[in-house]
Amino acid sequence: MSGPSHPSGSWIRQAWPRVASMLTPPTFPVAAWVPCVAAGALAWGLHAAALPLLWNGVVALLLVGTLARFLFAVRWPRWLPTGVALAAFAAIRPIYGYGFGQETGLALLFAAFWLKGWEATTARDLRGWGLTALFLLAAAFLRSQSPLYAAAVLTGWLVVVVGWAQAARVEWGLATALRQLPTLARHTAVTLIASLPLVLLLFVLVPRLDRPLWGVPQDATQALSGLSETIAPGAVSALALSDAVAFTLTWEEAAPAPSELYFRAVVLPHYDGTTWRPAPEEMLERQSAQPRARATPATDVSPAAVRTPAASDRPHQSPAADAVRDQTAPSDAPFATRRFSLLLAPQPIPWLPVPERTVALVGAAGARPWHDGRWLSDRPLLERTLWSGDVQLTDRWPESLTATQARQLTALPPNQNPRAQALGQRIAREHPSAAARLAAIEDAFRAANLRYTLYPPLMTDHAADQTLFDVQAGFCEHFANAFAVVARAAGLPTRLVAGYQGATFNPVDRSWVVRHADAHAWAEVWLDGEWRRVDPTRWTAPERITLGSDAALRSELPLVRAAWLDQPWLAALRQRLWAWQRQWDLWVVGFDAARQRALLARFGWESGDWRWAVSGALLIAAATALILFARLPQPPRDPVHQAWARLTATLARRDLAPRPGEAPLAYVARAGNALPSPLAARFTALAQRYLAYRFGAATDAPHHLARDLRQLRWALICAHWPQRDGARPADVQTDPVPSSTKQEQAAR
Amino acid sequence: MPPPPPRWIHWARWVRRNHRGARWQWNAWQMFLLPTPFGWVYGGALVALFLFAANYQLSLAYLLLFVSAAFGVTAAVQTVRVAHGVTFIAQPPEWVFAGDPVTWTLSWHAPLDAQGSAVTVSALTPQRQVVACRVLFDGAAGVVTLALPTDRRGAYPAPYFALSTTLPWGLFRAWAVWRPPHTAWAVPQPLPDAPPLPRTIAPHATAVTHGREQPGEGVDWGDWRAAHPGEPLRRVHMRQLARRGDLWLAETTAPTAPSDETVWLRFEAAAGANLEEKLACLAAWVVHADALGLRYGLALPGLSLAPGRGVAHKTAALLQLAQYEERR
Repeated sequence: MSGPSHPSGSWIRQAWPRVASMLTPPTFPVAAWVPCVAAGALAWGLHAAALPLLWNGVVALLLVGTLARFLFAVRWPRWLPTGVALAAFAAIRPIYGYGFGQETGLALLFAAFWLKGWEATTARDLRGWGLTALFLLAAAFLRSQSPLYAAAVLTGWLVVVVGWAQAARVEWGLATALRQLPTLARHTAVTLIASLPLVLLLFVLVPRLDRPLWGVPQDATQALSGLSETIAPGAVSALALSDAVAFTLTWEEAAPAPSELYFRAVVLPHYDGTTWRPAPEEMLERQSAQPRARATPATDVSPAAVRTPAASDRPHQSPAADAVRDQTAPSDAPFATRRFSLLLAPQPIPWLPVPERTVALVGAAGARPWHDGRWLSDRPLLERTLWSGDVQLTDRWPESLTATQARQLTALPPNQNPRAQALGQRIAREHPSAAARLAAIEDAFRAANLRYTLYPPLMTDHAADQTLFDVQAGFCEHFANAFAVVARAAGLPTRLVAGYQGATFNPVDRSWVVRHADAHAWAEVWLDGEWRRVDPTRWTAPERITLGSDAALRSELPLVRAAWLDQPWLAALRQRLWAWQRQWDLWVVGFDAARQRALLARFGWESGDWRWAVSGALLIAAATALILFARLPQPPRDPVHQAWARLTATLARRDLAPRPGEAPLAYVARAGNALPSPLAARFTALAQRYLAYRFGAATDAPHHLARDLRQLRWALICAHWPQRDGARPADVQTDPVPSSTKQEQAAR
Repeated sequence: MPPPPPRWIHWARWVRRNHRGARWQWNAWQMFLLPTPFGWVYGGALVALFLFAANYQLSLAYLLLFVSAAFGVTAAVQTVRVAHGVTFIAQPPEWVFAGDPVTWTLSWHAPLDAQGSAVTVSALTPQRQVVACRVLFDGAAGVVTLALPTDRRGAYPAPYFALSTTLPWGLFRAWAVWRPPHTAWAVPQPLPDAPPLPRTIAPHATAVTHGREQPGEGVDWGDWRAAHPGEPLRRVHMRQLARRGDLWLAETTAPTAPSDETVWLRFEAAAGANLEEKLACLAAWVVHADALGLRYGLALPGLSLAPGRGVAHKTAALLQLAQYEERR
C-alpha cells in the first residue's frame, strides 16, 4: 500500500505486527513487579549459601533476564522461556548428581520463579509469582529456624502480600506508583498485627502431629553440621572452629564439674590403619531394630512426667540400670542419680550425645539404649528435640567381652605405625598386668611432651607415629588415635569414642551450653571387666579438659572469637543471646506435639480430650469473631435521618413532638400549621423532600438534604417563636392557634 | 479492567427485600463474601504449607501457615469494608423505544474513607448476559450509567444490581444485590413506513418545515445535528445511535406554530396486521403529530386519551401505548 520509494520501511511496517506477536507482551508498571522481585531475591538470599555455585549462576542469569525485561523493556521471543526451562531441567542432574529430591526440587522452583519474570503479563501471573515466592520463603526454614530467618521470612511474606495488593490494583485498573508501596506495607503490617491474637491461638491450640505424614526425601540431612560417624585425622578440626551451639543442658540438682562431662555419641571399634569406623554389624542391627522402635509411642517430655519414676514413663532402661536396681532393690538405697534435660540442635547422626552412664532417656522421638551404653534415636534428628534423662553414677558398668571381640579390639594393620606398635609391644613385654601397661603408656605420653594445637600438619600416613615421634603435636583425635594404636599393640582391647567434652555455664538461665567447638575424641580400654574411659588429652593438655577448648586454644582462636572471651560485656551479651536462643528453641521452634501436650496439660487439658478440641475450637472462633467484629465499622448512620431526628427534637422542645401513631404526613401538616409562616413554608417543603427521600423515589443527594435540614433547625432555634420558658406550651398543645395569631403574640 | 463478576452472584435473590429502595448504602454487615478463584488457590497453598510443615516438623513453617491463615480472615474483613458508607441513589429511568437500551443512572456519594477504592456495578440482561461497569470513587460524588437492552415494548423493572469488589487483596469477592423500585418503560418502536396522519385538514395548511425529514423515515423528527456531551438524552436519536453509533440530537427549534387542529389517533385506523404493528403505527403517529405541534388524542378499545399537546402529553400517550393490553 505504501509507495515503492520506501521499500525497507514498508517491509518493516508490514512484518512488525507479526514479529511483535511472537514476542512477549509489554510489562507492568514498576510498582507492580518490584514487590514480587524483592520477595524472590530475599528468598534466594536465604537459600543461596546452600545452593551449588553453578546453580546460583544459573539463577543469577535468569534474574538478569527478568530484570532486563522489566527495566529495559527487552521483549523475549515467546519460545525462549520454554527453551530455557527445558535447559535448566536438563542441567539439574549434571549439577546435583541426582534427579529427584528436595534440593533439586527447590533448585527447579528457583529457576521457574525467575523464568516467570520473562513472560509475566497479567495480574494472575503476579499472584502466582507471589505464591511461588511464599513457598521458597517457607522452604528457608529447612536451612535454619533461627530468629534471624524467622524475621527475614516474615518480611518476605509482607512483601509478597504487598505484591498481591498491587496485582489487585493492576487488575482493577487503579494507579500503581512506587510511592504507594510504604503505605501499602504499613497497611499490610496493620492487618498482620490485627490478626496476631488469632495467630497465637492457632499456634498454641491447633493439634500438632508428632510424626511426619510421609517420609521426607533422604537428602534432608545434607545441610546439618555435627559429628561424623568416622574419624580420620582432621575431621574434628573443622568442628572445633564452629562456635554454633550443639545442645544445651540443664541439671535438676547440682551439676557435675565440666571436666567430668563426657558426652558419648560415636563409638568406633574398627580400625583400618587410617580411619576409625563403627562396627560393621552396627548398621545392620540399627536397621533391623527400627520396626520395633516405631511401635513405641513417643512419651510425654514434660518435666513433671519425667519426675515420676513410673516404669511407663521410661520406655527403655539401660541394662546397667536394671542390674543396679536388682542388686539394691530391697534396700532402695539412694543412688547418685542426676536428672538432666537436653535441648539438641539438628544433627546428621541418630546417636544422641548424652552424658556418660545415662540410664534412662525420654524425648520427643523415641530412643533406645545400645549395648555399648549409647542411645539411638528412632528417627532422624532433623529438628530441635528436647530430651530428659537420668545419669547413674554407679561404680560398675556391667558389660562383657568375648575372646573374639577382644581379639578384634586389639587388631592392628601390620604395615601402619611401626614405631607406635613397637612401643606398645615393648610395654606389653615389660608389664604383665593391664593396669600397669596403661600406666606405662600414660608415662610415655607425658614424657613425649606433646603440644596441643588446632593446626597440626597433615598426617595422612602413620598418623600415630607422626603424632608421637615426628610432629609431637595435634589435638584430641590425634592423641586418641596414637593412644589407641599403642594400647592395642600392648594387648589392651581399645576403641575410640567421639562426642563432646566440657560445657560452658550460662548464668542467665542457669543452663550449660555445649558448642560444636567442644567436640572431642577419646578412647575406652577394657580393664578389669569393664570399659574404662581414657582421655590422652588429659595427659598432654589438661587445660583443654579443665578450662575448655577456648582457653586451651586461646592463642589460635580467630580474633572475633577471642573478643568474645576478652570483653566481659561481649561475654555477657553472648550469654544473653544463648538464653534467648534457648527460649526460642524451646517455645517457638521446639513447640512440637509433645510440648503442646505438656503446655495444655498445665491448663488441665489432656491430649485427645474432647474438651480440648471443643475449647480450642471455641477460642479460635472467638478470636476470628473478634477480628471480624472489631475490624468491621458500624453501619454508617444516615446523615439525613440524623438531621431529621435532631430537627424533630428541636420541635419537640416547642411541644411539636411527633405523637405515637401519628402518620408522617399528618405530623408535617400539624407542625407546618403551628410554625410561623416563612418557617412553615420552608419546613413543609423540606419535610416533603425528606419524606420522598425516606419513602419515595429519592433524587436528593443525602448531604444536601441533611445540610438543609440542619439549616432549618438553626433557623428554628434562632427564631423568636414560641419562648421555651413561657406558659404557652400548654395552650398550644390543647388548643392549636392559627400561626398568624401566634405571630402577633410573638410580636407583642 | 476488573475481572467481570461471575453471573451467579446476581442470583442471590434472598436479600432482595433488604435492599429495595431508591437508595442503597454499602454496609459491611450486609454483604455476601466468597473467595475469588485466586482465594481458592490461596486456600490450597495453605493446605500445601500445612503438609510441608507437618512433614518436615517445622514449627516456624506452622507459624507461617497460621500467619497466612489469620491474614486470610482479616483480608475477608477488609474486602467487605472497602466501600463502607458509599451511598448509591438510583435515578428514575427515562422511557425508551423498544429495542433501544434503557440507561440506568446511579449517582454515588463516597465518604472520605472509601475514596480511592473501586467497585463493580453489574446486572443481568434479559438474555442473562452480565453487563458490568467499574465505579472508581475518585471524589465525593459521581454518576455511573449502565445500559441494558430492551427487546419488546412494556415494563422493565429495575434489574438486580450486584455491587461487588475484590479489592484490596483479590482474595475475596464481597457483594450485595440491590433492586431499586423504579420501572423503565419501553414504548412501541414507531413503524418506519407508517401511513400519513389521519388529519382532517390538508397537511399543507400547517406550517410544516419541509426538507428536514430524514430520508427513509416516516416521521418528521425536525432538524438533526450532532449532539454534544451534557445534552439531554431524551432528544438523542436512539435508533441512529443503535445503528451507526453516532449521537444525533433533535433540534428544538423545529416545533412549528401551535395549531388548533385536533387529530384523533384511532386504533381501528392504524395500519398493521396485529396488535404490535398497530401500536407501532400509533406510536409513529404520536411522534409525528408531536413534531408537527398538533393537538392529538388517542382512542383505543377500552382506552382513550383526551387531546392535548406538549412533552407531557406525548409521554403520557406513548406510555399508554407501552402499557396497552388487548382486552378479550
